[in-house]
This record gives sequence, structure tokens and C-alpha cells, in this order.
Amino acid sequence: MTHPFLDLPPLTAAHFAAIERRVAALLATEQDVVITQGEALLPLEGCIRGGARPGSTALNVVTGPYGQTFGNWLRDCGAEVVDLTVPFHTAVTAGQVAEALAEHPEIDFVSLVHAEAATGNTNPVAEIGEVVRAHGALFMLDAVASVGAEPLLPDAWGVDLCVIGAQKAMGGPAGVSAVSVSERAWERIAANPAAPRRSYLSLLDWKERWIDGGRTVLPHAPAQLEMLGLEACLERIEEDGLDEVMAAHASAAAATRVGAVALGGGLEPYVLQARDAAPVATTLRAPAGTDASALVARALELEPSVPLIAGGGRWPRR
Amino acid sequence: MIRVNHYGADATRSAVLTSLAALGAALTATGRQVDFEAARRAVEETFPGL
Repeated sequence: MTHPFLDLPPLTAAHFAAIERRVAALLATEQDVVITQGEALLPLEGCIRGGARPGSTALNVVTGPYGQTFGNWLRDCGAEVVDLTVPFHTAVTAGQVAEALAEHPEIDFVSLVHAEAATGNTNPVAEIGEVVRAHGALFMLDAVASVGAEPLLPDAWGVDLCVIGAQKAMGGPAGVSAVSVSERAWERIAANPAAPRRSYLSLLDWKERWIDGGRTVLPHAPAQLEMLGLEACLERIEEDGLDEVMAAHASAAAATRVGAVALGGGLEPYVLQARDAAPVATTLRAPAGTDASALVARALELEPSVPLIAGGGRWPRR
Repeated sequence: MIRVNHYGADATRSAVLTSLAALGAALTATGRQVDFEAARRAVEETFPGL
């Protein structure tokens, strides 16, 4: 038997490096880009374990469930963690970040999720990046749910570690991800004796074995199918145009918000302000007295192809 | 919480309309009144492309 997924020719180092260059172009970054062979939690944990250590203090901005996960990793690394938590139906402001940094001048690491698909909010990274850069902390951004859906400019925004995944706005596989790493982030990680080394979590391994060697020899066998899937995502975005792709996401999100309100029946947007709503996914509050899971299950029975999910939590508006 | 994803090829007006229609039908089954025509007009005004 033959199958399109089977018996593929090896993915060469040159091909791997070419896909990395296309990711860098998507992010408009001159920083090193490493494609990591796993879901985006892999580079996110690698960034935190590389950048945080005992004695460091991290500002962890919590605007949804991933921010909570990052706080747990940071504490596990021995860092002091200052959590800045805002209601999940809003966005954090640069002013709130500036206030937290002023209260804790020892902060040397900031973690932020750009857009939270689970809660449907998005944060003003450009403004926050200015504040973080002025303070001098290393800035890590989870852009998994924003890449391809809204502007994402790690270099212009002063982001030192920017993690993306292919599985959301890019419409690709979940088993591949990427991170852009600034020069000062490499210096910070290299100086951290607790940073993972000779580990699947290690970004330094990729630098030493792949980047510093001229990207000619891969450190291990690449995940072929995922890499080809990522390449297809990049091709589609390049063909359609990034601006057009982002505009489609913004329109879909805006139309869902107004359409849900016009539909009635008690549906209402979870994120209060349209400016705080992520283009990648729109979250809706189920009508009082109804169960969101049952409602979505019924909708999927009627129309199995619709992109509906019952939310992963019951987050009240505080 | 209900989530309407706009991932990849689902970032289209038709995906939004189909999602709202399915949600509307599910709400109707619970005895709630919905106005899909109003939803359709609102979506088409906001997302004029296909």
C-alpha cells in the first residue's frame, strides 16, 4: 500500500533552514529563529527554564489560563514571581505593567500571552514592549494565538523571546512551533547555569549544534510531516498576503460579536470591549440557565463542521 | 463559555454565518427565540467579503 504520509524522503538541513527563514520573514525579525519539534508548550517551557533561575524576579502577566501555567513554571525554576492578573474578559494595559515594574524594580523577566484563544482576549504588546524595554527586563511573548491573526512584530516591539505555533490562525499542525531569540536573550540563557542543556527543552542546544554550526547539520531527525505542514501554512499566507489574512481574522471576529448579539437568545460576547477581543477566536457567554457544553454539542450535531468549542473554563467576570 | 474559532480557513464570513446558524438552532431547541436574519444582516454588514 502507498499513502501520502508514508515513505517520505528525508527533510534536509537546507530545507529545514529554508522554512526557518520563512518563519523569520513572517515575523519580520532579524533575530535567530529556531523551529522546535513539538507543540508550542515545548519552546515556551524552554524559554522560561532558560531565562528564569533562583535569584531572578519575574513579572508574569495573567490574562488567561496560559499565564497561570507560566507562573507555575517560573516558580518551579526558583524565580520570585510577581503575578499581574487582570479579569480574563479584559486586556492588561501598559500602564498596569509599568506600575508593577515600578513597584518591583528587581524584575528582570516578563512573560505575557499576546492573545488567549481560550478567553478570547488580546493584549497591547507594542505599548507593553516599550515599557518593558525601558525597564530593561527580558521580554517573553506567547504569540501562538496571535501569529497570522493580528500584527506581530517582535523586533519592533522589543520582544526577546517570541513563541509561535502553527495550529491556530495559520491553520496548520499542532506538533511544530518556533521561537525567535534576541542576542541578549541568548546571553541571558547562556549565563544561566540552571538553563536546560543536553535536553529536549534546551534552546542552547539548538544554538550550539545548529545555529552556530551554520545550520548545516540537524541535531536530530526532524518531524517531517509537521515541517511540511508548517511550510504549507507559510506558503498559503505568502500567497494570500499577510495583511489580507489578518484582515479576514479581524472581520470574522468582529462579525461574530455583532452577529451573536443580533441573533439574540441570550448570547453575548465574553470580552467586553471589541478592542480587547482577539481576532483568532471569539468567546461568547452562554445564556443564563443554559449549559454551554450541551449547547455546543447540539450545534455540532446539527452542523458537525462548524468551528465551535465549549470553553475550557468557567471564568466569571470580576 | 462558547468559543467560535477563526483558525486558518475558518476565518470566513460563511464560517461565521454557519456557526451562528448552528448556535441559533441549538438555542431554539432550548425554547429560546433567536433572529437569524438579523444575525445574517449584522454579519454581512461587518464582513462584506466572502
